[in-house]
Amino acid sequence: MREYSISEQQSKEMFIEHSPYVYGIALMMTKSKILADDITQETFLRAFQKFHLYDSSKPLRPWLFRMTINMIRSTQRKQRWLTFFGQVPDDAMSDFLEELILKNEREQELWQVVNNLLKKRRDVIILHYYAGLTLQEVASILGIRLGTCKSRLHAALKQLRENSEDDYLLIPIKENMK
Amino acid sequence: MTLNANHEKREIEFPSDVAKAVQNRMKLLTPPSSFEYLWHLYQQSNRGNQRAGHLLIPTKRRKWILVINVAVLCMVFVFGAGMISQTFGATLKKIPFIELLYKHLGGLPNGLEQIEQNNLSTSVNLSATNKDIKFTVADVFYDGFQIVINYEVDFLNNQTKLSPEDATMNYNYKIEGAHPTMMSTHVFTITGDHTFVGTTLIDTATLPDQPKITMSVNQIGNTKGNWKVTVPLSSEKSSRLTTTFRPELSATFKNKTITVNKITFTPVTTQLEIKSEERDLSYKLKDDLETAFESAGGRGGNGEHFLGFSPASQINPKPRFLTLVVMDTSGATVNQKNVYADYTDKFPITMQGYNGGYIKITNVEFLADTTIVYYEASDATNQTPFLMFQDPSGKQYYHNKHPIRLARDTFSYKLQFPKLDSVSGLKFLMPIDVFEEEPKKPFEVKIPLNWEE
Repeated sequence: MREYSISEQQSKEMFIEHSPYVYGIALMMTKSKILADDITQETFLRAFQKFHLYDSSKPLRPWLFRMTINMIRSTQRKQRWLTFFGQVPDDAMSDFLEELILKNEREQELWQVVNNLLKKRRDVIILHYYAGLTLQEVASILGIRLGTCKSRLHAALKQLRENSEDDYLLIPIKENMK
Repeated sequence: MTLNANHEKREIEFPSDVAKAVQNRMKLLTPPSSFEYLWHLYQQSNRGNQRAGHLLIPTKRRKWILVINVAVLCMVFVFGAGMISQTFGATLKKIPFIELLYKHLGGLPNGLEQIEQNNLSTSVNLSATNKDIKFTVADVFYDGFQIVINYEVDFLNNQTKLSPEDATMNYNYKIEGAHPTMMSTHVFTITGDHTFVGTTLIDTATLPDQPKITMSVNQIGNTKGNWKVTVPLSSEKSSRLTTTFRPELSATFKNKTITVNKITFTPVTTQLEIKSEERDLSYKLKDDLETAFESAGGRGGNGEHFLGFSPASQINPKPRFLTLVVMDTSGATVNQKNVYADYTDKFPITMQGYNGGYIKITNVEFLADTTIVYYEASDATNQTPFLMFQDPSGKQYYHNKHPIRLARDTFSYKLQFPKLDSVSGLKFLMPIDVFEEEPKKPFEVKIPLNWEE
């Protein structure tokens, strides 16, 4: 009988705990249910295959999500002909996000602004705020230094505020703090 | 989370209630694929199954394809079609299925447009009617590697106009006498008040010579029923334009042997069969003029790899040789840098490319339905850039047909985009790869081709 680098039980636990986030991040970054499902599949298959390379002294989440991000990047970079998704009208693209993740008007309006951020900045916002990862984890996942991560977040928030027509989307704006 | 916002030392916060609400909902998401299905795929991969090998081959196709060995819930891309409902039979004859496919999907890395240009599909017109819904397979194309099935659904007694929700289908496929790994994608277009058409592309493993494919539909829109059609496939039409080579050339890379066993040029694709025990490799293909073939998917397992590429270029349909470029991509970390250039009507517009190269945009034609960009690359590495338009709102427009090389002595290309609404504030955007470390030098296998034999 063939030995696998990860047991079925371990795989199942990993999938149950992390697949919602892998799928959610892929959904938000690709805006496609098909791509998100495919990326989720590929990420976990790769994780199962490469599990022997995982350093169990470190948290699993950054390792797994790094694969997710690489898979998303690879998809977006190499699969040029998939880019028809970018041409689908925004309303059509966001329907399922509204249905699954963004329930109220304010969340949807904010997403519209987030969605128009530069990709690098948007990634930080999605991973940090929407997926709930720490900045250290985000930096590790994106393969950048913590300082770079913070500066992208800073720039993203600034751009969000500038791009947002409705000030209430970003609250509060506090004065005189460093 | 608080951060400095600007020089006035004002601080901006992302609304924590929104962040928390989204996090909570994300926690409850369920991916469509079950763990059991994934585990099954993983087990297959460890047995060297084709699907798993396919995972290790970089493809452009697999991200929007579904493995069809379970019931398929077709994801629907319904686009407003400018077509007017006609009588049923006449409609089928006039529908440019492949043109619709390109229009909606864009940038297909193969030559499927050849199907309609050279009349390579076979008309079948096989129907099944149930619950007042008629399902008709209009025509099929098969070249031994790809199956394209074009079909129409007609709601016979529908009083109301079709909505996008009606243009959905659940179905299974099967090939008689074979159980290949099949991967497919689907595009549906509403063509009239009571009709929609669909095209399904299927990549297959090796099939019998005269396979029969059965489409078994169990739901159309909200109506459950049974529509089953069996279609005979024949590659006879495309075989007249197909040439096969068996070079059986071997080379050694990383102390392992790579053998190119077979190359097939069909009107819509170029397929390579190679043998290699090394799995963490990626492959590119170029002709004797260094024209890049676009990658169009792949499969593999047990050391055998089936690589799909675009067909040979029109300016060099019978290259004297091909070069297979083998790259070891393990451990490579690639970042991307976006290069921008404002659109102006003064040409050329030069953009920095990969590895010190550049592309020069020499002209842009804004036509009634499309936008054509002409460019010249400084070298082979930059000949097929990921060039796109970006409007002031940030919306990006991608090419919807693969680049066509125009000259044998320069890397001059034309690239088709959709029609653009306005040129005001338009920019060109081109992401280029930036490797954190110098990428490993690729290994090249030259494959002579004798077209006279």
